[in-house]
Amino acid sequence: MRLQALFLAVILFTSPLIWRVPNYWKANIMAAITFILLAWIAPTSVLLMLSVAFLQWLVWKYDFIKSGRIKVIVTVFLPLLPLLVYKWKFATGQWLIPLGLSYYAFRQIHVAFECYKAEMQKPALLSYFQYLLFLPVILIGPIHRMPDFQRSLRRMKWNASQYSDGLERILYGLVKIDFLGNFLFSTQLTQVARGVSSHALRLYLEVIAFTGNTYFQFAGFSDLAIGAGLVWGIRVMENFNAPFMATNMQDFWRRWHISLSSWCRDYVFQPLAALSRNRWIALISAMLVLALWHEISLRYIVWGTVQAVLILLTVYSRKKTPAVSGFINGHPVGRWIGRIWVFHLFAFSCIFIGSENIASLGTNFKHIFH
Amino acid sequence: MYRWLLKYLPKPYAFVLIFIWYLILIMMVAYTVDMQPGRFRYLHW
Repeated sequence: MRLQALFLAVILFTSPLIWRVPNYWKANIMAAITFILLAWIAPTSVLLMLSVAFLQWLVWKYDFIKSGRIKVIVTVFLPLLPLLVYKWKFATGQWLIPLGLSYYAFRQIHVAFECYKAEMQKPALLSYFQYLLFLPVILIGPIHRMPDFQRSLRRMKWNASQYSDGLERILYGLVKIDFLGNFLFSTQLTQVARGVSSHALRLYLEVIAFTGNTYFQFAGFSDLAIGAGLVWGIRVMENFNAPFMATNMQDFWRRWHISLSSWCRDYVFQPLAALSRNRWIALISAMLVLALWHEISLRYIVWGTVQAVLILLTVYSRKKTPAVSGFINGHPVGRWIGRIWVFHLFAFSCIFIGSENIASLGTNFKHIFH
Repeated sequence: MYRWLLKYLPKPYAFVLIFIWYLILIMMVAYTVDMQPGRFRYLHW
């Protein structure tokens, strides 16, 4: 939070400068501010980010690899390698993950895939650096897309209402993080839970507190990023769309951490579905990548598999029991039943990631259901 | 929020409500930040 507060302060104080300079300079100045700040706080991170981006650019610029497939494998592997090494070392408790690595590595992989699909032109080195060095999204995402960033950059024009929208969004983000997440769910509800004598009810309240806190923290940080982006004049993609209003798990994953789930859909699910001709394998792989992106550990593998199974069951039940599914998704009462069901499904699946080890996982489930 | 209020209410009412709304939000954040352990509590005078 302290780092985010520093980033926010820098963004707010430098915003008059960003808006005063000619359009051509805006992106360069934003990148320069980000570079200076990161070089001061997290030099390893910025060195890793820029060196990987430079190597990718070399592969695109000088066509020394002729095959398009090998080229995409190399350009995807370059950011993937440090991500895997650092995540693995972090999981074994040896290294710390450089600031924002999980996010910018996925951005770099996104650019590599888009260049391969010819959906966008191979970026110039400067514009690639401008995209990667965008301060509002460095710390905690979203994994915004390069074509959107460049479009927003081209359309950049002073707009007072956009600026005030940004400030309002930052305030909403702070309320979500501090008041709803930290205070209501993390502190107050946990205290209420501790006072309850029943084991099952206490654990149930703790699960609700964990899920509520996770959502508000994450949605709040996304709001801060989107608001800060607007203050600098760039519209960043939305990351949450009222996920607990979803009536089934498939819908939930279209609304929760949209930038990551859409990344997994575009770069894991769709290619694997096309290659294997089996969308179930593709779905399980996509959910596993989504889970392992958070942390390389057994508990996240289990959590990802559970999410995939829940989506599979949603699709299966839609086919087998269309009447029930129609009621849940179509009728007002059914929709609320669906929402409560989805919230609880997700909250209980979070026990897998909230438990330190298999033994405590077993104990947690035992306490809830006995 | 402020856009919505300005759209549906006369401006003086909307401005007052916007002011109160933001004040509530800012106080909520200030209160919870102030509640963190190890801080001098400015809001508990």
